[in-house]
Amino acid sequence: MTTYKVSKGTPVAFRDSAYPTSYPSPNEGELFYNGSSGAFQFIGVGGGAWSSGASFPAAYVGRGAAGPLNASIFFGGITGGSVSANTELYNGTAWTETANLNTAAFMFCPAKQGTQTAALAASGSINSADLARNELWDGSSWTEVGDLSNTHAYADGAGTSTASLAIGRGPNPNSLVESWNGSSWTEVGDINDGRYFNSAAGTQTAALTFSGAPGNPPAFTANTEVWNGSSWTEVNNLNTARSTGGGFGTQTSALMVTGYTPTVIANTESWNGTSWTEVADVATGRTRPGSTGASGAEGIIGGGQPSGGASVEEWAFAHPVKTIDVS
Amino acid sequence: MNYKYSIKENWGKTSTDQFIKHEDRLQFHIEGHPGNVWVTEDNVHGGRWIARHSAVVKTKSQAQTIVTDIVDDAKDTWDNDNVDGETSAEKITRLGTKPVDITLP
Repeated sequence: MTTYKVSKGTPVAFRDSAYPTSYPSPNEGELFYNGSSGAFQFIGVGGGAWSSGASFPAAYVGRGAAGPLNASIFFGGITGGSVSANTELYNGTAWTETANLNTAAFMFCPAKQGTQTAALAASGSINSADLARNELWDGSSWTEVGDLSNTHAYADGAGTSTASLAIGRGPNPNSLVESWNGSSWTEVGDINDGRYFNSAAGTQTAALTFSGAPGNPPAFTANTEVWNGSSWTEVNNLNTARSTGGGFGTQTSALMVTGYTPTVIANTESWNGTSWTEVADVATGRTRPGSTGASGAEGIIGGGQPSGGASVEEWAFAHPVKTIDVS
Repeated sequence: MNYKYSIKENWGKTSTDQFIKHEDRLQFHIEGHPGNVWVTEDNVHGGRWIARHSAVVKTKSQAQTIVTDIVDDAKDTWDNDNVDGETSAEKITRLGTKPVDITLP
């Protein structure tokens, strides 16, 4: 229980440990004495920010990804000039290499609400051709499952490994959307503005797509559309039109990260279900990153061009806890 | 805003430390560029970040030269990577857009 001791007229909170850094904290701005460490500490003003994640084992471009920040799976991509089948799991601290995809590919249409034990690598490109094939991850290996009707390489996906959407398609911008029920794909309602190099978030029945190339590159758009399970509706645009960025979250809490404008930007925007608000930039602007996250409150972005390399950044809300040196 | 320029390889995150911490981002501006060039806000927190990492401090001109040399090499690589019969749009789809000049703040 928190008690208060008066030192020269200023109440100071007394705790037997540091405050948790979870956000938001009712103790923001509070000076306290940590009886366990014997130090005065201060819980600072919190907020959303990007910080470094553990680097990929190598530099990558165009990786697929699924899952929340601290339990995500990343697969494929281009590394060292070659298309890769590598798959790695992230626990918030380190990457663990696991079983490869059956077919090396990049620029997937991943179901980003998937998990480390149930993910879907939809479509993708092998550079010489774009794929309609899909692979399902069961926690230990990838298995090829039913093909899409069309390729959706260079676009993006939403949903889980058993209920997902492939939204848009390249290499020429297209409005096509296909829905996966765990065993087969069905064409559903088109998006209003055909595009590729777009980002997406949400589920099979409540999805969101934003940004992208509505024409041959280097084109880019701020357009945002929501899916209610049967049709797409245009809603408020991003503040900054872009393509080839990262994006993740839900239909009511999503993040748009980096992209091409036609310069490479570090800009991040947050979606609250109604509108986009500019928030803190990533440290390194990039295009074609891999990205995933459970919501607009937490996520991960890694790799990409021109200088994403192997670097990974994590988005989270927290309060800094500072120790005050009184010696 | 004034900036400092330094060079340090991004080592990411371990179980006990991060190259760029969450609280760093709440205290000063930092941006990464090709060549492990870091541009940090010229305040006490940015200065502490440089010291914490023993980053090699550069002048703006030196840092710009490092970035420009790498971007120029990337442009040449992009120009020389061609596939017979490929359209401009197809090349951009395959490789990404041609690298563009970066001007440090």
